[in-house]
Amino acid sequence: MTDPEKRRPSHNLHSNWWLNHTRYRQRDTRPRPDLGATWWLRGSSYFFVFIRELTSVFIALYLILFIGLIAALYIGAEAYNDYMELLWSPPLTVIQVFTLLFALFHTVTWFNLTPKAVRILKGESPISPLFLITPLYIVWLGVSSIVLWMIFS
Amino acid sequence: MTVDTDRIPLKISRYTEGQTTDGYDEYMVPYNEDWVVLDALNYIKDYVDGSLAYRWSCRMGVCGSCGMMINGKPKLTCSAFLSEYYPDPIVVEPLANFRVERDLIVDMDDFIHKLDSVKPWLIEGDSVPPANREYKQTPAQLAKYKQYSMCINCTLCYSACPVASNEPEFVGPAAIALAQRYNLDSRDSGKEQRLDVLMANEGVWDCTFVGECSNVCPKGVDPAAAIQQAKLESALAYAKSLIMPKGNK
Repeated sequence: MTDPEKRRPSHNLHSNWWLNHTRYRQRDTRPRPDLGATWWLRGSSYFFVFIRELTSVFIALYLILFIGLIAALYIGAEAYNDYMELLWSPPLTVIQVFTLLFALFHTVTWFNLTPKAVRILKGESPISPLFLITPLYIVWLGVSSIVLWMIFS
Repeated sequence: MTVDTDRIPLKISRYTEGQTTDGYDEYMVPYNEDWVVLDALNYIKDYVDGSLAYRWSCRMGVCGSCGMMINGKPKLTCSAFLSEYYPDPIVVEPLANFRVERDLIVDMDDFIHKLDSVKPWLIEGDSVPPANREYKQTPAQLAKYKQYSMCINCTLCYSACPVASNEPEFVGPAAIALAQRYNLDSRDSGKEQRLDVLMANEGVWDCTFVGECSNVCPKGVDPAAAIQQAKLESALAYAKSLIMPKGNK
């Protein structure tokens, strides 16, 4: 078998040598029509991906609130109670409800995409995606149940 | 644009070197139920305007050379029937996210270099068979990569990808799918060489898993899955390099 690598020019090529080519192309004046800044409005599949990525913003907002909660807990009981009262204020309650909904949406979409990343063959055919997705939901519900039990017991 | 009962309007993007503004020409083409958009382009080229430039070859969804944007979606023009659009106008543009060479022809050099960077060929290693003997492969070993070997390099996936749109240096769906095609081949030993490109910033980690590359693929290849699998492999390779910095040496 002839290895194409052996037929290459003798000069040594870096594995990312094509990047130089791309940068050269950026000086190219020929048009390069792209999908534009509104690519996420080009169809429902684009739109839902955009929403999935947007969920990260709300998760980040919630993490700021959560860090504040830990800081209040560290300061003392009075600070903690004041912070909890703040968290129950209408604007922050709305943010937390949205965060929960977006976190659920994000989790479900990623669980459903897991079979794409992990492809297990049984003989010549891939196993059913349900074999990969179901355990994720079971672990998720199990951990959530433990957390709820710890909160309300 | 008016609509005749037996004709369909085509609005076609035109470009010649040095042109500074986007231009479109409009043509009325006979409507024939079994015509595809490529037939309409051939009609224009043969009978109306011989200066129209576009690529095509096999006319049966195998060569991958007639990909264009049809009403904003990347499609093979040999597989897009006029009946899907009639009587509405059809807008034909060159594939998005590529430099336009002329009219509907795009410059494929950038893609070819990206494809070449992932070494889409069998790289010999320990699995070389004895001289004058064939490589043996079971149907199960073939099944691991067969889907990715169906890629025809039509690059519709690049035109559907918002990451390729915003980050021109992204290696892209087809090249990564073909890298996986060889990585998963039992006869190949080049996975580590390809990881250099796949693990780079412009490699698999640029992908945000939009998945539209798989939706537009005319051959049923799933480049989005290939990229996620390559992400998993590159993450494992990175973790392995942390645990065993000297590898197996």
